[in-house]
Order: sequence, then structure tokens, then C-alpha cells
Amino acid sequence: MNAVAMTPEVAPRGLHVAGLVKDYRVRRASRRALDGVDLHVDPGEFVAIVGASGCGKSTLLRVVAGLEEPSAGAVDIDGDAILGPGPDRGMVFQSYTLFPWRTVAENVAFGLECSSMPRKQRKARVEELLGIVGLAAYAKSLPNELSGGMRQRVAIARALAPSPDILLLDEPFGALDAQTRRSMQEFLHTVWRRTESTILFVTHDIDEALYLGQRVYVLASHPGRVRTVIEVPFGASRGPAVKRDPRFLDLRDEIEDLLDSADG
Amino acid sequence: MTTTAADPVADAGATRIGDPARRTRRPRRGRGRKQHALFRLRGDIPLSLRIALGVLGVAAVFALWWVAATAWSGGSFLVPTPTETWDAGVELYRSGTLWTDFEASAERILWGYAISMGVGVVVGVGIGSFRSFEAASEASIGFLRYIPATALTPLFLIWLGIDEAPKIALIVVGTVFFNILMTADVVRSVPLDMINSAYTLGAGRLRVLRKVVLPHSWPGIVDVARINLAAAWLMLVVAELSAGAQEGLGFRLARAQRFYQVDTMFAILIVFGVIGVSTDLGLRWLRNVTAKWARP
Repeated sequence: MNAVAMTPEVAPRGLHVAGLVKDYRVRRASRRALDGVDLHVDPGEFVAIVGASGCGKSTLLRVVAGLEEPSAGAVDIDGDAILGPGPDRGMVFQSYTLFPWRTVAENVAFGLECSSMPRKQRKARVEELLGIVGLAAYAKSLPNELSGGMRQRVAIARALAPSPDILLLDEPFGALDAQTRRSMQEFLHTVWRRTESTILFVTHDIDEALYLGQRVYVLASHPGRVRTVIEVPFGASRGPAVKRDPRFLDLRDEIEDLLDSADG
Repeated sequence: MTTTAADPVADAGATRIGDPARRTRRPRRGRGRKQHALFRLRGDIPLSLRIALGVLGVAAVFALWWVAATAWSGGSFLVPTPTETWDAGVELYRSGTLWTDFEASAERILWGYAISMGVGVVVGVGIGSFRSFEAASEASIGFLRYIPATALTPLFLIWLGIDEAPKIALIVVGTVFFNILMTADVVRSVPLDMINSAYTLGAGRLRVLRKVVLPHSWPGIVDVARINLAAAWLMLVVAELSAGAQEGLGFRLARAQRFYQVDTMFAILIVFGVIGVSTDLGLRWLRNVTAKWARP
């Protein structure tokens, strides 16, 4: 065998979005939601997308999830094109999407049932995940009995259960009050560190994006396009104190100005 | 004593706003309009009052009935009193016809409504889930449901004879379109992101239907069955009156009319009401037991 055959073309690892365009038809007219978005997420990275509402950031996430087809451009993970939704790309939505007739444990088990994991293994995996999200005591509760923050923790555990290559979070804390939101940010940061997951996180909250993301894509609206990419200068282990760091505040102002000018 | 003496001093600053000397002297006029507890739009009332009003409502109906029976018809047979009706009902029960009539009618309802719900759920889930299914059937169902089901009676008599078949067919035709359209509505109310969540967890379409759409729709479907059951009884009576029945509650009603037994007719009407209320409560119970999560 020769050496050339031994080394096939190695596809780049991680999520790659190149020249993504998404058009919608609204009453015969075509509206461009995304206009040539380039983006990448390396394995193990936490990437945040921030933008005003209506900038197409949710659309971008849905295209990656396989829930919508791109009009043009390429989206692939580890070199594979995305044809439809699958358990390799777990997603958490802003609205509460837990199955209300299933207990917390049964909700987390849903994805594992889909992959026909044996019952014993499934039980262990559910227990492990409920431990990670700190809801072991609520395994037998119904979603209606939980607070908004707890429900989103379950949703995150459910999405993590099938060990996805990437976790897509679409404003998961958008419906929560400010205090809960802050504690959920802490929580998500801890979960990311513990599970070493790859996360693509969409938000309209600049602080949230900067606090959680290692890299932040700032999206401009109408049509949605990448305005700037910011490499956040804080390490993976960071506490809430970071939010008072002068560099954090500078970046915050910078993004705010960008979003204001982009919309004006 | 020192503690009480200190109090007025401590309070002096705090009570200044409420100081009587500072109060304006104009006559006290209220702001807004006080509403009586009984007549607040959608306002809640105490449980005891609710029960009392409920009992009062039923009593009022009985009182009206009694007045009508004694005063208006002057004691004639046209409007029987509640006691006469009760006696007629007991007589029906003793003679055994009440049971055989109930059985005959219930069997028709059971068959007809089972078929109607079966078709309603299958087609309704199809229409509610798939736009293609909806587009293909929308026009036909929209047209068919406006044909009065009772108008099909003569046709069914020619096609199906005068046996059980035309009666069951009438019940099916009279309820199936309601069941289809209302089931489709229930299915459409499954949140799209809940379905999308299932997809991103690795579920295929069939699994999403079985494990997400159906469980989410179940309590709504039971409600659809409960609400449209009234229409099934309506169609049953029409069928028994016009499609040549030999037994059944509707048939018994027509027969009592032929002999001017108004008290028997009243008794049968009340039997219809009792059956209706019982099945309604039964189906409510079923929904609450099988879908605890959806309890109001």
C-alpha cells in the first residue's frame, strides 16, 4: 500500500457554515433572513451568537439543526452535509418543549429510547444526567410541577442524553426572570465544563453572550449577516466576577454600538 | 412604663402622613365602582355559594315544571307532574321494556359512535399532521359536512334496508365530520417546537406521531368524543323514529305518543338526559385519570 492512499483527505472537525443564505417567501415577495453567513465551531468550543430579534439568529440555528433547509451555502459537521434533524445535534428551544405527560426521567430518556439503548444502560445514563443538572430528586416529577429554570435544565439534560456532537441552544433562558437567568448561566457554564460539550448558543443578551462564549458572533439585522467576530479574552474557567472586568465592559459597549449602528 | 412612654416619640415621625389634622375635610367619595361578588364578570365565587346556587337552579326547574303541570294544563294529561313521570318511569322499568330499549339504543350508539370516532381519529390525525392530507380532503369534507345527515335517511333505507345498518350509518354520518374536524384541530395544537425537539432527539416521523402527537392530543380527543356524543344520540332518535325500529328509546317515545302517554314520554326524555350526564361525567373521569398532566 502506498502512503497516499493511507491518508485520505481529512475533513475539518467541528461545525462549518459557509456562505449560508436563507430566503423566505412572504406573500409572493422574497425576504432574505440570512445573507452569506460564515461561522465555525470547533469541538469542545462554546460559541455564542448575539443579535437583535429578527436578525435571523434562530433561523441559523434551525438550519444547523436540520429543521430548515438553506437557500444557498454549505453547512456541515465533521465534513458531513446536514440533510435533516438528528440526535447528533441536540437542541433546546426558548419555549418549554418538555413532554408534559412524561416524568423528568422519562423526558431525559426519550432520545435514548430512539436509539434503542438497553433499559439498564438507559437508566444509568438518565441518572448520570439528572445528577449533572442537579435534579436527581425530581426524577419522578412532571414538568408542570417544576419552575421555568428547572424545566430548561431538564431540556438541556434531555438534549445532552444522546451525546450530541454539538448542542444548539436557542435563547434557552429567554423566558426566565433576571435572577434565574443569572443562575442558569452559571449552571450552563458548569455543565459545559463538566461534560466537555460543544455548544452553539443564541441570545439577544450581550452580557450573556460575552460571559458564556469563548467566541462571539455579532449578527446585524435585515438581512442577517455576521458583523464581527469577537474572541473573548477570558479563559474557560471564569466566574461572575468577569462581568465587572474592564475588558468585559469595553467589549460590551463595543457590541452594543455595533448592534445600534447596524439597526439604525 | 418607660417603653410605652418612648413609643409616641418613636412614632411621631412615621405617623405624620396619617395625622388627622392634615386630612382634608371634603366629604369622603369613593373612587371606582364597587362590584357585587355575585355579578363580577368571570369573577370567582365561594364553593358553598356555587353549590347552593346549583341546587337552587335545579329546584327552580322542578318548581316551574310543577307549576306548569298543575296550573297551566289544569291537571290534564298534557303535562304530567314530576311524580306522575316518576311513576311512568318505574312502570317502564318494571315491565322490562326500559332495559331492552336501552340495550337496543346503546348498542346502536356504541357501534355507530365507535366507527365514527375510529374514522374521526385516523382521518383527523392525518389532516392535522400533514398539510398534503389536509389539502386533499379539505374541499370534500367541507362540502359533505353541510349536507344534513338526516336528509340521507331515505337513501340509507334504500341502500341498507330497515335493519340495524341504516341506523348505525346515520349515527356515523351525523357525527363523523365533527369528529374529524375537531380531532384535526386538537392535533394542530401540538406545539411545533415540541415536535421539532423530538426530531432533534432522533425520533422518526412514526415515533413522533405515536410518542408525541398522540399522547399530546389524547385528552383533547376524549373531549371531542364527549362533546359530539350528544349529536350521536340526536341521530339515534332520528334513526329510530324514521328507519323502522322495533325497540329502542326513540321507538318507545314514538309509541308512547301514539297512545297519548305523555307521562311515559316525559320519563323517556329524562332517561335520555340521565344517560347524557352519566356518559359526560364518565368521559371527563376517563380524561382526568388517563391524562393527569392535562387536568385543568
